[in-house]
Order: sequence, then C-alpha cells, then structure tokens
Amino acid sequence: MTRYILRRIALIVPAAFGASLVVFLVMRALPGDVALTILADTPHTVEIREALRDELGLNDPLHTQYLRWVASMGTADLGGTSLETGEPVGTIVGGQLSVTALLAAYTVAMSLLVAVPLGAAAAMRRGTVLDRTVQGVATASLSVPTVFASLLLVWVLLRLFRWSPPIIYSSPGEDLLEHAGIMIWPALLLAAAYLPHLLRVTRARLIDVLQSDYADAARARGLSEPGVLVRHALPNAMVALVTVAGLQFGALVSGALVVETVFGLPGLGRGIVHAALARDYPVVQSAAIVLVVLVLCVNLLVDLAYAAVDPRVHYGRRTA
Amino acid sequence: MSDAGRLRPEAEERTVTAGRRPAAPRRRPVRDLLRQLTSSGPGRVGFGLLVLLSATALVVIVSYPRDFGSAYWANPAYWADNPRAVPPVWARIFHRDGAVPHRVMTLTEPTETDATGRAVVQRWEFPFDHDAQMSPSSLAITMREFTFQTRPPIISGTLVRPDGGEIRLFREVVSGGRPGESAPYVRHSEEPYRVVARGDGPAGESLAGFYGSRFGAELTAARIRDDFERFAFGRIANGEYEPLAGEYTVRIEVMSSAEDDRLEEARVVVGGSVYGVMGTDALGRDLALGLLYGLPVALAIGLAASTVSTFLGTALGLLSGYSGGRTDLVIQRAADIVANIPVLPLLIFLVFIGGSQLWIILLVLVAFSWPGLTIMVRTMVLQLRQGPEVEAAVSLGASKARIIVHHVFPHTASYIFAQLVFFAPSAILAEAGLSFLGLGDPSIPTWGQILESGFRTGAVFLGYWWWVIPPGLLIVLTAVTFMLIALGMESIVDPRLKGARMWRS
Repeated sequence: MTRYILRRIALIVPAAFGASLVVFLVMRALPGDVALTILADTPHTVEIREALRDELGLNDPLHTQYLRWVASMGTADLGGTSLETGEPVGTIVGGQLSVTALLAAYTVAMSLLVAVPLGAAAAMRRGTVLDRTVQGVATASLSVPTVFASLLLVWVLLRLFRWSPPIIYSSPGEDLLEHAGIMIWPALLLAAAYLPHLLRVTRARLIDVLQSDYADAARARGLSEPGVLVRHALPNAMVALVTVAGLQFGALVSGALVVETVFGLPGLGRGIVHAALARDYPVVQSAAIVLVVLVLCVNLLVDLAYAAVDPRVHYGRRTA
Repeated sequence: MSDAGRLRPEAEERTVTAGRRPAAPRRRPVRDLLRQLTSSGPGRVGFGLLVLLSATALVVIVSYPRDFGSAYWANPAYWADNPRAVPPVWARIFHRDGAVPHRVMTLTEPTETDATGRAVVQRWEFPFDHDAQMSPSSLAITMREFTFQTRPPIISGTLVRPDGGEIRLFREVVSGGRPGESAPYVRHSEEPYRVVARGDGPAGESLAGFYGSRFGAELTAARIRDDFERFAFGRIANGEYEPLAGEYTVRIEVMSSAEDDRLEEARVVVGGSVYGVMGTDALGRDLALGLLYGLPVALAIGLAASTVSTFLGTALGLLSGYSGGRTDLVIQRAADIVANIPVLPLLIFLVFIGGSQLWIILLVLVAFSWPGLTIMVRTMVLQLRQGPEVEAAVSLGASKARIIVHHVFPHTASYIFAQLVFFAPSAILAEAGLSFLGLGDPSIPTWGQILESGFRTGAVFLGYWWWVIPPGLLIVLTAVTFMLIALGMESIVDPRLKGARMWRS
C-alpha cells in the first residue's frame, strides 16, 4: 500500500513540474512581452521598461529564472509579490484557496448526496417515468452553461427574495449561518453541472451490476432487492463513481471561476481573473499553478480512494 | 484515468463473431450514421436543429461584412444614434404607457428652397407623430457633406411643436475656407456634422425661454439638463406637467450665399424607448446583429475544436494501442497528466500573456481535450488487435500502417464520430465561460461576451432581461442541438444499450 501511494505521489511530481514548465515557457515563448503587458496602459520609456525587466528578473537566463521561481514556490512568497498590492502571493492565494476549496467540497458533498440515491432509484426503476425524468433533467442541465444559470439564479433571487450576493464574505469561523447563506447558491449551481456526470455513471453501473450473475446469486440466496443494492451493487458502483468524480473535478474548478465572479466570492477563480485583468503577472502565474496542483492532489486522493473501495486493485503493480 | 471496465468482454466477443469477412462490402459510414441518427427521436430533433442553425449561420456569413467585429461591433461611433439599453420593439406589449418607437429619418434633397431673398435658404423638414406618454430618449441631427463656393453656409435646427412653439436646437456656421484652399470647399464629408439636442446647450436655453413666455413657468437649468426631452415633448397645463402629443417637425435651415452650395444628406434620429428585434446594449449596439453573428462563431468554435481534438485523440490512441511498448507508455502517462490539468485557469493564463485571440483559445481547448478519447481508442484497439481480422492481415503480410488504417480504424470510426459530437458543446461552453470572465477575443463578438457586457453593466440588477436571456438561450440551444445528436448516437458510443449494432460495418 505504501509503495502504491508513493508511486502515485511520484506521478504527481512530473505533472506539477510539467504544468509549471508549460506556464513558465509559455510566458516567455508567446508573442507579447511581460514588461510590455504590465506597462500597456501607462506611458513609459524604454529605461523604465528595462528597469522593470531587471526588477522582475526577466533579463536573467531562462533556467535561472525558472529555478528561482520554482524555489520561491516553496516559501510563503509563492513565486513573488503582487505588483498591485505588494503582498506576498502566498498570502493572497492562500486566503482565496480556502474559499474555493470549501466551495468545491460543498459541491462534491451535495452532488454525492443527491446523485447516489437518485441514480440508484433510476437504475432500480429503469425505463419508468422516474428514470426518464431523472435522465432528461440531468442531460438538460449539462447543456446550460454555468454562466447563464448563475445569472438567472441571481436574477430570480433578487426578484423573489430581494436577495443579492453580499459584498463581504464570511468564513465559517466568523459566522457559520451567514457563510452557509453565501455559499449555498454557488454550490448548488456548481452541483447542477457536476452532479449529472455522477448520476449517469451511478445509474449505468448499477444497471450493469444488478443484471450480473452474482446479483442473481445474491437474490437466489434470499436477499431482498434493497439488500442486493446496498450490499453488492453500490460498493461495486463506487469504483466508477469515484473515478468520474475525480475526472470531472477539473471541470468543477473551471466552473467555480465563473460562479465566484458572479457571486463575488473572494476565491481563487475570481482572484486569478482579477489579477489577469490588473496585469498582476506574479499572481496569475502562481495562482494558475496552485489551481493545477489542487486538481492534481484531488486526483491523487481519488486514486487512493479508488484503491480503497476496490479490493481488486493491486497496490504494488498497476496494469494500465 | 482508469480505463478499466469501460468495454465489457461481451462486446469484444461480439467483435470477434461479427467480424467482417476479408472481402467485405463497401462501407458507407456517413449514410449509416445518418440512418442511425434519424432513427431516434432526440437524434431527429437534434439533426433538424443542426440543419436550421447551419443554414442561419451560412446566411450570416454571406451577408455580414468580413470585419464586422472590429469595424462595426467594437466601434461605438457606428451605434451613436441608437438608444442605449432599451428593450426590443415587441416588448411594448408589457408597457401600459406605450413605447416610443425609434425613428431614423433621412433626406438627400431639401424639402423647399427659397432663393427670393439675399441668401439662398434650403429647408429640410422632418415631420413625425409623437403620441406616447413617454418622451423620446434623444434627439440627434446629423448632416453630411457641405459644399460651398465662397462663403460658408449658416445652419440652424428647430423643433416645431404641435402647439406652434419653436425650440431652436442649434445655430452654427460651417468652417470657412483656409488660406491656400480653393473653391469649391467641402466640409464634413468624412466625419458628418452631428448635433445632439441637450439641455445644457443652446437648445436648453431656447426651451427655458419658451416655457417662460408660453406657460410662465420657470425651469431651472438642472431640470432642463436632466429632462430636456421630457419638456421638449411636453407642456404645462393647470400648473402640472403633461406630455404633449401631436405632429412635431424638426426643421433644418441652410443659409448660403450661392445657389449651387449644397448639403448632401441630413438625418434626424428620434431616440426610441424600444429598438429592433432584440433591443440594444449600453452602447446602443443592436443586439440582434450581435446575436446572429455569434451563431457561426459558436458553430465554428465547436466544430473546429472538436474536429481537431478528435483527430488528435484518435491518432494518439491508435498509435498507443497498436504500437505498445515505450510509445504506449509515454502516450498514456502524458494522457494521465494532461487529463488532470484544469483548462480554464490555464486558458486565463495564456490569454493573459498571448492576448485574447480566438485561435489561442481554440488551441488550448484542443491541447487539453484529447486524453479521454485517446484512452478509449487505445482500449478498443487493444481488443481489436487480438481479433481474427488483424491476425489474418498480419499473416498476409500487411504493413503496420495498413493494418491500422484498414483493419483497426474502421471499427472505431463510428465511436469516434460520436465523440466528435460530444466535444462540440463543451468547447462552446468553455469559450462562453472564458468570454464571460472578460477574456474573450474582442474582435469577434460571441454570446459569452454579450453576457459578460450585460453582467458588467449590471443588467441583472437593472432588469435588462433582453440583454441576458437571448444570448444565454442561444448557447443552450446550440449545446442542446449537439447533445440531442449525441443522445441519438448513444447506442454507437455505448453498445450495451442496443446490442451489437455498434460493430456493424
């Protein structure tokens, strides 16, 4: 088991480094000068631009720049200081990360709570009105862009309840009730896009398993249908469910960017967009990497969970 | 990442038993797909919608100017005469007061020319009925191209009210000849002479004077400035303000010294409280034009991204599955890594550096969407490789390339085609998300950008529904079209749903 975990962690390292290298190289290879990008809106001389390039270390050789950046990722600076506020990037991104992480956690929890029972119900009553409705709603909600859905929701909340997203965010430590009031709508929206994937896979796997020989064997032993479901089918479906939950996590994070913008949550998504529009390049660079690493870590957790729920997975040697 | 358990062993056996004999009849994959597609309800609806959308997109492509985005959409001067942030014309049914229609009146000849006096006076008259309770949102006069021989013409504009009152809107002299310039002098041919009647200019003074002499009412400068149109199209009766309905006329007079001095064109715009089929945004842009333009763009994004990434994913999957060994390992690890990276943050980052260009956005979408397909195709190839068909081909001495192209790829083709349809809506939604974050390509208007500008302007809080709902619904409609087609093809993608039809060749 330990070896397997180590192997999985080892796989994350090249991914994180790969992403950081891509981010780093793209920054230099794409048309457009970082110093010029930062100064685009202000009149400046060549000297000022050169001074900025020196200050940012852009005149050093590429590998020195890269190593320096990667090394500072390990410190509280997290790759530099914000050009806008002068704070270390670590402080800014750290605060934002907690908001996004909480939002993602609520979404996943909510989605699992809904998707598993509904998927099970649809699978057991396959072909009925219930099944078709669940499937139809799931497919439909996949076609509604989060952008549009969130605008509509804000509108409805405003019209019906005279509620608009609060300007000030409260963390769960400060005021739990207020925190819940702020987070529930964005989490619902994200769940609407995330849940259908879980629902589909739960239903499909359960249908499969419920028709299998060993489910028949369990029935033959006198086990009731709910018994078969809970004891045999659900554990089996968990494997696929966890896999899909992990695969869709990247999309969930992407959706979080949009929802945070609409609801004014001070999360990583809104942070990175704000930084991009403010040309705060150290923040953009590091925040992009932090998001990537976040998703990678979640996928690691998923893989470990996958190993935990599926007794057939060999920890030592994983065949592709 | 895990590819386990996706294709059941039964499916593989079916492949084997339903495998083609060496001399097979010619395949017609496109016709087969169409038949399969139109055999299901969702597939039929989706296909119909796609044909409809494509036809509309074609019309848009043919009828729009090439540089619509940069030269028109992103150019506020072009929309200057339009009312800002007003609902569509048909929204009138929701208003009890009655809405003011948007009127654009253009003349290229004067209504009458009076050459009896010392000067030649050309009168251009623009009569219009105004009978709504609301007042027009603006009054703008535009004159293009003055030509004069010696002395510059004097131009003036007057609003003639139904009650006989006349409000002087402006009085100006066209700039005269400069040293070194010779007659005929031409003025304002490139940039028309434009006057917007406003309360803080001469029009305001004239209106205040009129109210004083006609109604004995004292209008403060601030009230005139804020409510110029309201007072210009209203009156005081029994000490109360009320709108004044009837026939108004805007009269332009051009006084010139020579008879062949002329003004090419004059236009009067009475700003409405409703506009066009889809209303306008805060810059006065006709949303109907922007929404229509967004259609071919959305389809192009969806098709381009899905075609390229399907091609890439398939090629890598075939290579990975058939080559095996080190190539396989490298491709699979790369797929694992790429599949784990969230696209939107990276897109934001790349757009930040490379600028908002549609091709960069498409490139990134493509670069990150191949792994899923690669993994699936590889799994299928691994199963096919052990089948009798490939074995037979190998024993006949066929080359590796030939086996991949002729004996492996055809079996995966219909699955791949269905996958292509799956990719399209996700690319469209991704672009919409990015545009919404303010990082779309500014030279190409898209639905996401229209949503974004609406959101930034506070359309949701101000109740500008016509600015938010149509672009959102259009994104949904396009996505649903592809989803329905994908649903119609579901039996191809998931053979368990409909028996072994997937493998029919």
